[in-house]
Amino acid sequence: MEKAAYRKLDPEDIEKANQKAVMNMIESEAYLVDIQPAIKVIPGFKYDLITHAGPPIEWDRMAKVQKVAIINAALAEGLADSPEKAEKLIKRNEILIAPNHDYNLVSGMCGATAASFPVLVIKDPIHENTAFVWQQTDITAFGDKFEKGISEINFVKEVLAPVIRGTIKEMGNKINIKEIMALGLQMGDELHSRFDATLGIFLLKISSAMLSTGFSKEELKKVVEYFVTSHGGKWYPGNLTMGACKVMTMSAENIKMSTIVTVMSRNGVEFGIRVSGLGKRWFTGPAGRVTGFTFPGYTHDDAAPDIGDSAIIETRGLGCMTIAASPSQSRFLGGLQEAIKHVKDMYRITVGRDPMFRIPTMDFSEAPVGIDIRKVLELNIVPKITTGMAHKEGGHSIIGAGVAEAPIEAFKKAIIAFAREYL
Amino acid sequence: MPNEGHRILKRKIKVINIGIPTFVESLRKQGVEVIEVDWKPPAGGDEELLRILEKLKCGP
Repeated sequence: MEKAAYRKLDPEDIEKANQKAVMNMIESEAYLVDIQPAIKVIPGFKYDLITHAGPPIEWDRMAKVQKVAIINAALAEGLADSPEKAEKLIKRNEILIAPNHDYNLVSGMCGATAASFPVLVIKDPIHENTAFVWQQTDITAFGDKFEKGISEINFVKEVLAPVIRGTIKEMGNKINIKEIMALGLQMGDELHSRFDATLGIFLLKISSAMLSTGFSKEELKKVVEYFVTSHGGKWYPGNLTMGACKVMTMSAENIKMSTIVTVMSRNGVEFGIRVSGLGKRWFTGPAGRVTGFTFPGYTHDDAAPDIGDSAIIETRGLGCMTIAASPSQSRFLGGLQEAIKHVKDMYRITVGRDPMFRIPTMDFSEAPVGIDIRKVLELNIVPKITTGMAHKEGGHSIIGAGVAEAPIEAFKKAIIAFAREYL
Repeated sequence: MPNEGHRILKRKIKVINIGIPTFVESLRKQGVEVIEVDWKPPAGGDEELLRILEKLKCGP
């Protein structure tokens, strides 16, 4: 292959750009300010649009479970009255599909989002950015059976969203999510796959306001039961964390000459990254295998490859990047010592440290911030993501949890594009 | 006549292994003390990537 001729570049310019990206992320804030239908609050969202997790992908190449989730969303939205009809409309572009990230939106696992779905609105007043989250539900995140899971969507629309909206109003139209996350991290949650403490902190903070909203005892009871007994409810802080991490990483986007990763996301076929100095371009590699544990009745062979927008949590420097904060989740890597080693490896591929997020098991060391694609490639160390497992065929809820690796190929493509842009 | 290399191998040795973990396993099986250094070639040894990384050099 002919050697490319590269101009001279002052690496100091990259360091300055990276410091700006990292400081922006550290200084940014994240407040839950509203919950409204996607079509009402997301600029550009359309009635005939279903968005999905991960980088863009053509329908024919899409993972089966993500197709099932998208079809479920189309049925829930009333865009089609059968899965076969929904698929025909998608293939004819009469139902449009696009990545969530195109709309500053994130959603877990398959992440299928439709126009009427109530999305959490998360604002960063420091950098004036807004991000949106469609919460995980069994049929849109895991591609579970439509008939079994549509009641959850209806519950969110008719009961949960109105109660949450009323609660936000009672709390002065803003709830500080970043603060709740920081407390949870110090209480055994790594902020991606474990939220037991963070859920408790969240409920404690909102309980008085929620009881003041004027909703009936029955409705409030249903909301609390949802939080403490359902998959979707127990992982609710995960939605808040994803939205907070999205709005915080948005502050690092589009900084010329920065090599800092601003998005990591997966669609079950490809793992995509975006880099600050390269705008909204995606760089992809194959989505990896999730290794961990499966629930009874399932094996690793049943699992879809790594999928979901939730890697935005690791992009911000939390989740598996701080896994040593959670002794229980450290078992995914073999134990606490292995988890500490992994966090130390993450220090080597990042540029900054966040004093607000600290890891108690590492003497309250600060969380790593700012994954630098140069360091990933120089050291051959890739980020890992703690994640759930979806069944590759759909038709099931969550089947397990574990860890997946980011593919080095995505970072290679990004650095080549960076060189073509700036050298 | 035995050379310095032969004389060294007759003594108790300690090994620093850089990179490939399988060397570590076989040495430890023979009772040799080994310190493992986790190292991989930068950019997987890809020359094009190495040239790019050199131009975009990270700080210390």
